[in-house]
Amino acid sequence: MTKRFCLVVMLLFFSFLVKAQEKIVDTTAIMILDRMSSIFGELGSVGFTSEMSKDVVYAENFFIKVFSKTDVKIKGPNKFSVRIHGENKEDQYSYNGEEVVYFSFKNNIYTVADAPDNLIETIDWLYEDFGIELTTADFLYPSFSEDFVSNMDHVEYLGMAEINGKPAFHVAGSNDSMTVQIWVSNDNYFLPMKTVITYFDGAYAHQHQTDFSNWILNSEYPDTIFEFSPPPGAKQITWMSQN
Amino acid sequence: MKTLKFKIWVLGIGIASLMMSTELANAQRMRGGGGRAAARPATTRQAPSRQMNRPTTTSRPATSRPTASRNNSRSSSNQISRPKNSSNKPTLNGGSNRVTSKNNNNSKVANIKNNNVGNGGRNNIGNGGRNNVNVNNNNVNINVNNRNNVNIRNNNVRNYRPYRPPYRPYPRPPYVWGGFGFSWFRPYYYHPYTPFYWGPVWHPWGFLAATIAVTAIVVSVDDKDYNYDEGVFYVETDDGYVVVEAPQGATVKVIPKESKEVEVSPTVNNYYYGGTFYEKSDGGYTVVPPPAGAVVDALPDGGEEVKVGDQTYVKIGDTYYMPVQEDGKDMYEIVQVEEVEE
Repeated sequence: MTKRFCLVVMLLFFSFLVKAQEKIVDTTAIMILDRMSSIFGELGSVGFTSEMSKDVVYAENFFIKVFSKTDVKIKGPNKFSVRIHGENKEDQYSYNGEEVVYFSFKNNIYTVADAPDNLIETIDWLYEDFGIELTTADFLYPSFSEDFVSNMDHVEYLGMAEINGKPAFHVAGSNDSMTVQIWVSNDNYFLPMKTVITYFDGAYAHQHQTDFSNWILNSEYPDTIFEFSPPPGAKQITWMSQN
Repeated sequence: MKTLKFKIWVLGIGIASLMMSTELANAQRMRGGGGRAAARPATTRQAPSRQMNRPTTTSRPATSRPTASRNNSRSSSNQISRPKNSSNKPTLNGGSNRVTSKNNNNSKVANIKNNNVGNGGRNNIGNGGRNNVNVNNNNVNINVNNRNNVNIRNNNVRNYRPYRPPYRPYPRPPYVWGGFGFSWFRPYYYHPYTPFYWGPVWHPWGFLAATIAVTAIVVSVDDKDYNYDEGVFYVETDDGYVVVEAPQGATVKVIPKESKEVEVSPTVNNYYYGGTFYEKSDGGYTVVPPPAGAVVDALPDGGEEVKVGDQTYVKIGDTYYMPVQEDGKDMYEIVQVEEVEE
């Protein structure tokens, strides 16, 4: 009887250990992410520059690195202007609260689509229908830290790091399909300085890195900068939706 | 005593000149004519008392002086003619008055599954949205329309395919968009879509011709008769002859001599003219689907540029053409678009 009892206790203990290993969440990491998310939630507008590099499949067993730089201006509750300077492209996405317009400076063509009336829904819709991922889109969600914790199996604060000579909190999260690392500024604003996402869901792991700079908070952006007027000779083309 | 009076007088002059210089400073900041006003000696007269109890701008007029009155009238008229803030907006000027009207951009979105590019669900590319195409080859304006309810697409013929798969595999996995995988060989290189006209006897889909050449022959596909002449297929209607998509499977004896050879594989060549691909057969030349992976240098009217993900294609009928460059020349590669499991 005693033996059986010990066995049950041991089984319970090990099952607890196994369960504990499934989800590891570091409270310091969550505190940092919560703070960053709260500050985003209180902003009326935000502007920043992001420099991205990502691995793209060029051919079978053949990845190439693609670079781009993006200037972003977002004004709550329903406006943004995103200008992307990439290899062989110069694109602009404008959202005025009613429609999103894509414009290619290089090719002088544009597309227009009626959009939802708020940023969060528009960001979701752009991703779902047109495959467009807005930089920092994740950070803009009110439930960012909550989502991060629920999506990651392991969340940890990895200590202080230095990004461009400035101290930063290094936070990382991981699950079976990706590892996300975020470096958050160690100042009053807790803004993201860098993110690196490593995906494991394809045949090979591939990375997506973003460096943030030139943060401008609560600037009074005039509404007109979010409006698009087609330049002379620009041609509207059809925008193919995925849905 | 005299010395004291003299000192007070000198002090008075000093204060007056001090006041004058303040007034000048204001004048120079507030209006353009300040410089001239500064030269006027009038302000030195009884300066202290006048300056003390009147604001500078109103005390300045010195109405007898032409320069002053000119200045004032200019500034006041400016003030009258200039509108105040156009609204109560808390901006610099209440918002500007635009000369151009604000743009109303119209949404133009389609999806691959419904195949309704650009013309609101009608599957007849070539006259969607246009009613009045001026085809001025013979100095005759002819309306391209669909009033005879002719289906200018022939995608319902038996064994119709929007493209013919390539003979070799694609080196990359397809780019998946909306449940369809897009595959191509060459690097994407955007160039604007400029429809090509193959000469005075060639016409795009939907074109209505009152008559056709007597050399036209009748071709039958799936029990439907077409009139064929110089690379163009027509369907007879009450009003004349409407140009339609070349029906796949139709065989004609002769194709225009301007047809270009297109390499489909090392052993097979097609002939391309007016947006139609032909393959040599026993009876002559048979209309075949566009060969995916092959390139052509010209596309007919009736296509529509569509943005799929990061790339812009020209869609003609159900076929996607990707802009590419070969040997420095703008070309279009026929894209394979097949349904994929997501």
